[in-house]
Amino acid sequence: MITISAIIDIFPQLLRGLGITVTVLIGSAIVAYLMAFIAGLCRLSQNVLIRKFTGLYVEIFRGTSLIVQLFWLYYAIPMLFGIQLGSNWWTGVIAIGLNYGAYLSEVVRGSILSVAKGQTEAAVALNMSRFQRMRIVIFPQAVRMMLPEFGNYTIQMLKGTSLVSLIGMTDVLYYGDIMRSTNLAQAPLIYLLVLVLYFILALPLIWLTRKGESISKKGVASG
Amino acid sequence: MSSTYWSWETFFEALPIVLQGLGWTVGLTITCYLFALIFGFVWTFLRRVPNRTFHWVVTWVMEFIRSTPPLVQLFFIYYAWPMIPGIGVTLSPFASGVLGLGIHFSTYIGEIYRSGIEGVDKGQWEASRALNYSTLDKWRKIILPQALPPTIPMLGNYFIIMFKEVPLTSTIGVSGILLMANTYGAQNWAYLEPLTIVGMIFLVLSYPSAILIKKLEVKMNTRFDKKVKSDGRKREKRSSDVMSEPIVKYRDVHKSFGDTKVLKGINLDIHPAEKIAVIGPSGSGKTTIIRMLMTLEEPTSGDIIVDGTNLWKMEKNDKMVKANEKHLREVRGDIGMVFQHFNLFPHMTILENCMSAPIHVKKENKNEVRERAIQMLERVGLGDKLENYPSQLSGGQKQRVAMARALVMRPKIMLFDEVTSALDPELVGEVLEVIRDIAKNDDMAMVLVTHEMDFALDIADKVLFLDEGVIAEQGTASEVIEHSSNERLQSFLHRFRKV
Repeated sequence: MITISAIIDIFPQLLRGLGITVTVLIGSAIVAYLMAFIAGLCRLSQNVLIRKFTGLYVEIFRGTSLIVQLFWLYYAIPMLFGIQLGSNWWTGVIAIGLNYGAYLSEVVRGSILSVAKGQTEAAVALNMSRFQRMRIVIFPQAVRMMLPEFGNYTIQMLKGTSLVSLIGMTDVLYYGDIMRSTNLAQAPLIYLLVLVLYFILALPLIWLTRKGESISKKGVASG
Repeated sequence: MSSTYWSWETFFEALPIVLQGLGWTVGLTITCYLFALIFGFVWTFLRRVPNRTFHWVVTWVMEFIRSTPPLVQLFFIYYAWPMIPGIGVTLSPFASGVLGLGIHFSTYIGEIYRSGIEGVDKGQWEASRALNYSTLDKWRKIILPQALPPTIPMLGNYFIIMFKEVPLTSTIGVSGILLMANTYGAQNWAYLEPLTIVGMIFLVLSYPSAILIKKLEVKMNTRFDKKVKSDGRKREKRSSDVMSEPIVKYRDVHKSFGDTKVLKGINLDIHPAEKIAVIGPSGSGKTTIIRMLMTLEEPTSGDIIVDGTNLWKMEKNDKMVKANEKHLREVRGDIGMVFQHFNLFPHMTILENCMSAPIHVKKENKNEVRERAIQMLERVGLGDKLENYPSQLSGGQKQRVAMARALVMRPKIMLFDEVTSALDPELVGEVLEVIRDIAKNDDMAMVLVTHEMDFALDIADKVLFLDEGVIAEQGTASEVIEHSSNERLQSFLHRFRKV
């Protein structure tokens, strides 16, 4: 059943969706990273209002599932704001970005908090300002600790991009579904190839994550 | 928001319909979770098979499952599996959901088990072998009972994560809350209200668990949000003695941690170039005295005056209020500190450790700072380690770097917080030598909190004996040691001499 010619037939079809999958991934990764740092730092702010407000964002997006958020935004954005965002691409990017941004903000917050307390004390003893302490001492160490989790969540985001096929985006899974509906008998091969294609996309991310793990093991205070 | 976008009528009409799906959603979550908990053991077991090729294959199969979308895996099981000749099986949407999500998440659960098992002390394996346990008993009675409890918070987390992935199964027709909401939406062309209901259900159900997890997190990490209540209303006594010589004055300083009173009224003068040793039993508050001066700990009451300025209080609208960060920075600029645990910056080289503060804080010229830093590092005997990282040094070397780092800032007062306590005995000497050198050749004031009794007495101009939160005795070394009639001091010294 799995013949070379069938693979040659199917694979180029799937590749037509590659552009959407990759650009949605890149777009939502940028949104997520931005949100991660903004929200993560806001949650450490001394201002109660900022802290609570960001906390609300994080809780809402971590407390509900991505697919619900995607659908909700898909219907809500045009209705609530009376605007079309121009495309579903933005809906997908915003939903995935905000969702994983909420998760990653916890990574940012946690890493900053887990830099050993003595580091802050030493920076105080050297009379650094609060901003300098963060910029020169805490942040460079925290970023190293964040790397593996950022890698892991980027793989999660790649998996999440498959949901945009449900709001009519023509990504890899979309083309897989189209082919399956016209040729039911080929379904196993089609979905297998879809999985393989996602895995190929994930490979560099897996590699980066492992790289990040080895970097994070170095250069962080243990006491 | 105008009512054309949002209608409460629709909301309450949709509510019971969406809730009809709750049984399926929750039921599927629980079944999936149990499946993943059990199937997770399969991965853990497979990864322990001691065949390299097999191990490699299992690792990458897991990696494959973990890094491809669960949505596609669901489609594969529901749509594709029945089509495979020979082994094809048609499953209900529910069963497909259990299998698809269950297998996907079992790879994560398996890794959690594995980390738990690897966390069990090596000695436990050896002990169970020494006691001649059978393999089954070893696992059942020794390893798993120790490996599993630490994994419980993580496993709990995955219940919530899976709960949130379950709506994916609406795409293959499991009539959970999301499918009910979408169906209602399609029939009435009103999606916002039913989807909002779905979101709220998730928040309501996952929030209690999230709070539980947060509690666990807080338990492990309470150190940052420690806020000390201040009663900054006390008036500073701005008397004429501000003009006299002491560079630092403590006036009736109290400090409590919660209900524990650590310091009960400290009065102390530190004169320029004076070398003070603080001794006393552990827990007597020695370290707290200098940490308050370094602004690492806020006094509960009382004043600390540095060079005529109140450290912890500042004037604002003719009132004394709690000092802000800017005030603290201005006043503590002449104070430096060396810590028990060195606190070198691990991401900077030795030289960078010594250069960053003068450049960034004092805005000094980079080349001058470099020269001075190298000079200081040579002085402490580490001129050959400039480009090394702290992790490549011994404890004694680290502590010498820490001293150089403080010295480059040219403080007027240097604080030493039990700087030899964390060192191996054979490394203590080299650090004390550096301190002795500083004490002899530099004219800054020094306050040493220390257990090195003989050394302290040797270099100190003034010795303080701290006991139960007060300075019980003070004077020159010989006054304190030989002529004091304080019984607790005598017994403290006696204990030390014996050791």
